[in-house]
Amino acid sequence: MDLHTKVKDYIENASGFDEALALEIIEFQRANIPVYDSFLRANGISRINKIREIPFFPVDFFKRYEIITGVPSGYFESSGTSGQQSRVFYHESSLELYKCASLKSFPFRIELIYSVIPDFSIAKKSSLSFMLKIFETEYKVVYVNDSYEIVDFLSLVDKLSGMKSGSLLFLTSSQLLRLSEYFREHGLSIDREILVVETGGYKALGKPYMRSELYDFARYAFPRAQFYSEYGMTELFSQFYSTCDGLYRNLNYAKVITSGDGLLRVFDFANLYTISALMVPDRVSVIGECFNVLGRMLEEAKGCAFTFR
Amino acid sequence: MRSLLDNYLRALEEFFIDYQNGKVPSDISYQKLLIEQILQKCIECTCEIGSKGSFVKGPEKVFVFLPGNVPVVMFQIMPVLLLSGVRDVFFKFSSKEGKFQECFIGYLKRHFKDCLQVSGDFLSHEESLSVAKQYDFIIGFGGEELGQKLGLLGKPYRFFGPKFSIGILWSELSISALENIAFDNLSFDTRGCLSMKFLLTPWEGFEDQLFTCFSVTSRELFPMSDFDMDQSEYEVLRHSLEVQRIVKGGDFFLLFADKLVEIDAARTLVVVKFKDVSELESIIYPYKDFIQGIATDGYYPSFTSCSYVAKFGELQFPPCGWYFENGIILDNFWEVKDV
Repeated sequence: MDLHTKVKDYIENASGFDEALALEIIEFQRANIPVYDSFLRANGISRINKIREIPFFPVDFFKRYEIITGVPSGYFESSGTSGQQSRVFYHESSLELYKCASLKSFPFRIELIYSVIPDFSIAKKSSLSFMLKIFETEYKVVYVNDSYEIVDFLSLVDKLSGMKSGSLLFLTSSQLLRLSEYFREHGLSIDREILVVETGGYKALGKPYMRSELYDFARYAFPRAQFYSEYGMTELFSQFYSTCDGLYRNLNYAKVITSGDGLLRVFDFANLYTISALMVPDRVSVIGECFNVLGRMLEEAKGCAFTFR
Repeated sequence: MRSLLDNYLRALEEFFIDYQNGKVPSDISYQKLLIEQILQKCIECTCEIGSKGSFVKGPEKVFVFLPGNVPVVMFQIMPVLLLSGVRDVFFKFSSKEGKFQECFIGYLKRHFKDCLQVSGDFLSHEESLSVAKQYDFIIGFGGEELGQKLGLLGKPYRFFGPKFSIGILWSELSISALENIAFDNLSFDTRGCLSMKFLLTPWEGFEDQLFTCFSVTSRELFPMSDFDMDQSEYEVLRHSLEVQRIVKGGDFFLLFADKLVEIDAARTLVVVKFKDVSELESIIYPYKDFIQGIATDGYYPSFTSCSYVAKFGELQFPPCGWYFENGIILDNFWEVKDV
C-alpha cells in the first residue's frame, strides 16, 4: 500500500497514535522537502527513533519557504493577524487528505450549516473557506455573508432569522462578537436550539477576551445555543473542536504531543505533503486527551537588551 | 551630597542583607547569586565615589524610565543622581520588575527622609510620558520606541537604547574561560545589555566542554522564574537554517554559526567562528552601534559603541563610574543636544 493510501486509511480508521507511520512520514518529508532536511540536520537529527526526540518545525517557516512535496496547484494564505502571512501550498493529493481529515474531525451530527465565513469562490486563498466547501459534500451549507468582515448586518440578520433548530452557525470569533454586539444594540436574538461554532483567533477581537466571556456575551443573541470552538490554522490540515467539556479534543491523526503546559507541538498526519511535526507559538495546557489553548506566545518585553527585528 | 551618599549606602546595605535573607518581594525569582554579587559591587562603588568627592550640578527633578528584564539598573543610576544634587526623582517601574523596584524605593525613602524626594509607580507608557513632562530631565532605558517618544517631549533627556554584549575568545581556550563565558551568557537569562549573546572565536572542537560548562554554571545561574524554555526553543528553531548546529541543554541552547544570527532567545549563546582579525571585524561591523560590552581575553575591535571591555565572567560588573554608554562620564552626563 502506498504512503498516501496508508495515511488516508489511518485518518479514517485510527484508533491510536501510530508512531511507526509517523516516523515513515517524517522520513518521506525529509527526503522530499530540502528545507526540512536542513532543519533536521541543523538540529543534529540523523536517525529518528521516537517522535518525542525530534524538534518540531516552527510554523513561521511557512512564511519564508515554499514547503510541499510535489508540484503545487495553488496555495492557502493565513490571515496574517500576527504579522507576515503564511503560504501553504497544496495539490490534488494533499487536498484529498485535507478533505478526509476535515470531515473526520467534524464532530457534530447536523444537516444544515449557516456559514458567516465567505464561500471559497470569494475567499480563494482561505483554508477555512475551503473547509466549508468540503463540508458541502456531507452537509447543506448556506453562505450568509460575503467576507470575513460583516458589512450588511441587516441582510445577515434577515438570513439568520430563518435558522432552523438543530442547525449550526459557523463563524469567526470576531464575527461572533460583532454580530452579538449588533443583536444587543438592536434588542434582537435567535431563540432557537442551535450550535454556534466559532474559530478562535481571539487576538483579532480588539481587546483580550476569554472564550467563556465571549460566549456569555453572545448568549444574549443566541440564548438557547450551545457554543463550541474550532481550533485550526492554515498550516494544519486537521482541526480540533472543543467537545471535551469546553476543551479541545485531541485526535489520533493530529496528535498534540505537548506535555502539560507549553507551546503546541502537534503531529498532523493530514499534512503528509508539507510537514507533519509542527510547533505553533500558541500556549496550550494538555489535560489527558484534551487541551486548552491559553493564547499566543508573547514577544519578550523589551528591556535594555537588544531585540532584533 | 556626601551625607546623601552615606544614606544611600546604608539603604543599599540594608537592602542587600534583606535580599540575602529572602525578605525582598519580587514578581520574578531572580538569579540570587548574581543579584547579590551586583549589590556588593554597587556598595563598593558607592564607597569609592564617596571618597573621591567629585560632584556636578545636575537638574533638580529627574524622571527615570527603568528597563524591563534587568532589575539592577536602579542601583546603577542612583549614584549619578546623588552626585548631581538631584532633589526629586521619580522611577517608572517596569512591569515584571515592579515589586522589586518598589521595595527598594521603600528603603530609599526610609533613609533619605526629606533630603531627597524619591518615588516611583507602575504607569502605562502614555501616563508616564505625561508625568515625565513635569520633570526637568528624563532618563530613559528601553527600546527604540521609548527613545522616539522621549524625543518628542521637548524636555532634555538622555536615552540608553537597546544593546547587547559579545565575547571574543582568542588567545587561550580553557575550562575556566568557558565557565566564565557561560556565566556571562546565563546572567539575567541573556536578557541584559551586558549579557553575552555572541561568542566569536577561531577555536574549534570545544563544543562538548562548552556544553559541560553551561550545564555546571546553569546550576548556579538557574533560570529566572519567568524563563520559558519553549519560547526560547521556538525562537532557536525558527533560526535553524541560519546556523550549522544547535545543541539543546536542560535549560539553555548553544548555536554554532558563521555570522551573528539575529536571534532573541533567552539562555542562548551563539558561537561564531572566524579565521582572522579581518573576518572578525567584518562580522561585527554591521552591529557596531549596538554593542554594549565586550568580554575578551585580549583583542577587541575599537570601532564599536562598546562602553565596557571586561574579562570573561565580569561583564555584569562594570567599573565604578561606568554610566552605561561609551564616552559618558559624570561631567557630561547631563549635557544633551537638540532639545
